[in-house]
Amino acid sequence: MDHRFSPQQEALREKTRAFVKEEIPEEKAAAVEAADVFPHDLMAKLAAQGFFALNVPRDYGGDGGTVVEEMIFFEEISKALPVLAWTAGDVILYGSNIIKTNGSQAQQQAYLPRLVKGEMLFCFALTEPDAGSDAASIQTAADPVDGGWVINGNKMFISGASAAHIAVTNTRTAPSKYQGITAFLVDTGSPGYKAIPIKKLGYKGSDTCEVVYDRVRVAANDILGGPEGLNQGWPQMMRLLNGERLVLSACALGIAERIFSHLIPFVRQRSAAARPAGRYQDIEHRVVELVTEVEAARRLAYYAAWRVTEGKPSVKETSMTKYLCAETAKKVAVEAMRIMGNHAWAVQSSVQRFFRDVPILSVGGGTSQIQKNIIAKTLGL
Amino acid sequence: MSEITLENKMVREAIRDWVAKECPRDNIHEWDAADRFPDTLGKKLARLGFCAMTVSEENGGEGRNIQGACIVAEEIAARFLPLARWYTHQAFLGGLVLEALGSPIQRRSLAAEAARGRWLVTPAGIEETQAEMAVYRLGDPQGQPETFLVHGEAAFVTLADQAQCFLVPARAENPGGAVTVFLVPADRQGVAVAAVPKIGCRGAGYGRVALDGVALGADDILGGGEARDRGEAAWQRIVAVCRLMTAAEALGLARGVFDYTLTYARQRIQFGQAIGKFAALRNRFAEMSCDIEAAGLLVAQAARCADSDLAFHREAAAARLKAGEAALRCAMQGLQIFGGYGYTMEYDVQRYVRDAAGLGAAADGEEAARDHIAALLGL
Repeated sequence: MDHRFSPQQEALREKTRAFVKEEIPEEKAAAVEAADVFPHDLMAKLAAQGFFALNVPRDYGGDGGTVVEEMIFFEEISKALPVLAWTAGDVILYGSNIIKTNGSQAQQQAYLPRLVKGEMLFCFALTEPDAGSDAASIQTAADPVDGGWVINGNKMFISGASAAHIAVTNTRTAPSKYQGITAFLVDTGSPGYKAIPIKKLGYKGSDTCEVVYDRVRVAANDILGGPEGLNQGWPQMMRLLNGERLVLSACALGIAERIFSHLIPFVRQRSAAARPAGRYQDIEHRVVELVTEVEAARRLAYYAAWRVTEGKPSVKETSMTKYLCAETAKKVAVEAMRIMGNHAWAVQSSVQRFFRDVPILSVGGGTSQIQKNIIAKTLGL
Repeated sequence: MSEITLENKMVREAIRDWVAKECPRDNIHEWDAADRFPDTLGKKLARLGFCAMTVSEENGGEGRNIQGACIVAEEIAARFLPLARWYTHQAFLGGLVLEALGSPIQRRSLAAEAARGRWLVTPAGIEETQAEMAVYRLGDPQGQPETFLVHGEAAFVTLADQAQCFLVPARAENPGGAVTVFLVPADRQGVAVAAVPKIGCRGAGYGRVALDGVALGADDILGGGEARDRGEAAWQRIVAVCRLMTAAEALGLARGVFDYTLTYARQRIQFGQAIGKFAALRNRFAEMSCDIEAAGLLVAQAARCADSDLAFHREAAAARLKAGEAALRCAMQGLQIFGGYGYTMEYDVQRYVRDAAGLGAAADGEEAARDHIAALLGL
């Protein structure tokens, strides 16, 4: 077992940290949050510095990185501005990853070079108002018409849906629950596509929307993977889940780490001033427990990523990682609110922002309960 | 032991009906966004006599019924915490504290005003360590009558922008000086209030209160001139009252978010059945209901002690700890159970989360409550 970071991976981490230090000071993060607008300016800077190449094959102008590189990037960005990790995901995950994993050769040629340059944004439209955890019960319909398809239906909680150029839209094309789903690459400029932004507790600026498809026409070649991708939406999605779980886990780790950067100095200062001395022992121990749990979660996360890159069976490990990282980061945020009290509750505190961001990580990409269902199955339960 | 009187059952029904009628969720969305709720809400509560439940009839109240007042706070907090906080600061800190600790004049005038919903009192300085407590020194020693000049700053004062009066503990300036609790009128010269926006309990604003040589007389001492330098026990009593009211608010919040989530879990269908039917969620609901019931018993116990003129410091600390934990746990569970919908501003569960997150941060914090209980154990 060898999952040490390579020099190139260490360099990527340093480069991402440098970007964060230069481009995302606290005031900038607070401003993005307050504006609740998709951070196009920061996205352009990420593109200019080549970050969108990190997981694209070299043949298409990328750096050829794996899920480990993705995690490093998402972890470091999340330490400063979690929503930027998500919006970058509209390129790295829902663009490049989907296309390189499931796209036809023509689609790879058409999209990957543009994704590397930051010229395109994708979004991933799966969830529906009545199909959340039970994702395969989607009802948005695609019907064949005149050699193409027409899509009708509603999607819910689709991040980047109004900013994106392409919405990877999962539709029902046959009655079979799992073998009747087809993903289409829908041009968001198509007549009948309408994205309605949703106001949320956190991750402000993610452009999360409800999407209405009202007789949206798409061509047969717009099926993800080409015409052979018909009714292949579910297995295509399964190929992406390990990566998505790990990347979301990296976001959680980054958030937890950043909360510590506020919590630990706070406790240190209080502890030093406490009378009688030692009065903060219990709180110090609580912080120690949290730091230990995050360290353990981080080890599991990169171990699971190593398994993925080695091609080993990884469903159990990635699900464990997603569950553990999301819940641990949430626990860190809640405990920080309790320990820091008013100092964290005030709007001027960054901790409250991370506290509001983190809960969605135990929901999106498969809830903690769904992850436990998956893990239970792998255990034969 | 945990019996609720018929009178208080009627109180619960009355306030529950009132909240349902006067605090529709759509309006609360607007008040939360605006960080302000209409003044008329408090006036209506007072007109119905709810603010008078903590003051005896001889001082202008309707007879002391602390359990009933806790039920009122709980029921309001179940829907809208900021209004519950306005209520408790009026009824408990304005009414109960003034009647219990005020001088005869303060009891007759100020407690009576609180009973009418016109004397909003908030503690300023409670969260600070003793080293940071405000100080006072005598004004012109030859001056008549005697004046005291108070200096100090409190960082996170609840309802600072609406309060008529701050309860300020201050030490005499000499080393090891004794504590006096002052009633500092908010409009007195030298008092400055700066808003501190926060993410929860919006409508019951926070403020940083600075006292820069505020000149006060003996009449401004809680309990009158005789209580000068004898404020330590009074302050401990005020802290206990704060814990009791926070406990009632937290209990209400816990029950409010629990009921709200339970309704959703019964309606939301996934995998062909209501999500509340899945064992993993059923058991969470069972646990939450136990947490709430336990916290409710602790709140009732502390309130009963207060009604019986018994010390309730320990009981209030225990109730505050357990109700605060229940509120935060129920809110976070609710958020998870609501899934993506819980994360949207359209649903109230996110508001419960933002409000609950500050309960640990309330002036009478969790750590101090633990500390108090441990000290009573001789540790």
